[in-house]
Amino acid sequence: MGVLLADMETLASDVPPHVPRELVRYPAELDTPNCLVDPFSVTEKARTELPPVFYWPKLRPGISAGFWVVTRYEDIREVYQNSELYSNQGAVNFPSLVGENFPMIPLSIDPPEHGKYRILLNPWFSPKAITGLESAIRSTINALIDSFQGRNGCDVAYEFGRIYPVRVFLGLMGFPLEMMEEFLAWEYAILHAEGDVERMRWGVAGAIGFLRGYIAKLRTEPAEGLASRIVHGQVEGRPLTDDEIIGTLFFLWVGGLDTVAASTALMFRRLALCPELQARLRADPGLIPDAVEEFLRVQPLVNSSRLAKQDHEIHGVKIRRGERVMCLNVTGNFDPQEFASPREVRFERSPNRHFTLAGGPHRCLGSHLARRELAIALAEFLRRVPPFALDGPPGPVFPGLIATAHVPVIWQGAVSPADAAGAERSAS
Amino acid sequence: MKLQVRKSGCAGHARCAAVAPDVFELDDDGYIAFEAKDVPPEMEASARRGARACPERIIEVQD
Repeated sequence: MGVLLADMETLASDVPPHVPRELVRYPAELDTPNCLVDPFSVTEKARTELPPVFYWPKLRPGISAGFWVVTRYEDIREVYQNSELYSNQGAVNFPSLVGENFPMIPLSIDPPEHGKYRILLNPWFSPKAITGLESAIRSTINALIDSFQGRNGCDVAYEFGRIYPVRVFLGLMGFPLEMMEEFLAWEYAILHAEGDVERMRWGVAGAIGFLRGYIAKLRTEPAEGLASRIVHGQVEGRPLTDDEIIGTLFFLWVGGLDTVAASTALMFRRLALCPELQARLRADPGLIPDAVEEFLRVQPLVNSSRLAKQDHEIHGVKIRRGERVMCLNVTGNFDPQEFASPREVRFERSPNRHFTLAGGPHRCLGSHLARRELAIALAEFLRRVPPFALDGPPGPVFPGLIATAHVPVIWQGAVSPADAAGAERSAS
Repeated sequence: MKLQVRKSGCAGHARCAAVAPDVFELDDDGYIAFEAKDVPPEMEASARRGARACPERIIEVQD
């Protein structure tokens, strides 16, 4: 798979002795940007040529240890669902970068403890709750589209997808709107650090510093929004501890910002490159919710990992207690055992049981918010902006959360987005 | 036709309700609201689609 075994020996000198050497693989194309129309098509090689369970060695000092990888849809489902065998402890441990040890709540907590935090948060993120946010999301998105008036294109990743999820998040949490620029800068530092750990640390420390200060303020001055409800919230009839409060707010901060931005960038990039898909949605906006589901499937951004709670075997491969197992959604979502013609974008796909938003007890808390944001962004943009294409050749995309920071598009045909008055009329 | 739900396995994807809102009610947290349900003949096709949409596979159709 591109990397010779001899190179692997030096790269992977820390592979535990019980790991069979033939299972140590590094699918470099999953770790490398490409300029393809479908940036995830490179995962087909890993899906078909690698064993269904393989060991991804630690390649860079200090980033993470090596881990096991499962590539098939059914195995991924088992790992997500079986919380008896797989733990979420230590998941997405950004706080440790700056010497903090509070848990990411509810992400890094296992059932049954996990449930008490979900009970606190679920009512804020249910489909019904998100319906209550819909008009705020729509006006946030339309205000951004207004700013494209008089222009013949925009950077749909940088000027649109990067911004609206943060504005929606500020509103939902009740954070001051003037935090916008700093949030964006911290988020950008964490997501686009390109291996620069110091830059990531700056972003993480900035966010935690702000949150701690804001928690202190909310303690004496309760306010509207989810942040204040968490600060003054209860689990099992007792107030949350300081670690629980910062752990929950920081988790929401991390989870709420970059995933929707990256999904937006990739979705619009694909539409810019595939005029026939764009034309179908323009002709039939009723397809948009199913289209969002299909875009989520073909653009899985996160491959979640779990920690083995005991020694066990998958397909005869021995996994030891304490080792990490990654669910490789970038292959599982294209498993032909589950999805017919998996590399095709089919808006009418039914069923579409992808695991882009994970599964089992840790199903993405913000999944319904993300879906609604993407659907509204798509609907309003297509309604108001003329057909668009990429402005220039396709730039490099990382087939994962880092995705791409820039997707410049240029309108074709009509000169400018529909006016704001038109927007108000059909939004009402 | 009857629907049988292994409610403890519901993870709140809410795909059943997205595909077949007339059959699958959710609670205020966004999780499936019932464990069993009789489906009238005119809703059977919709119920089957909703059951099939569940990524956790907890909804069983009993004919």
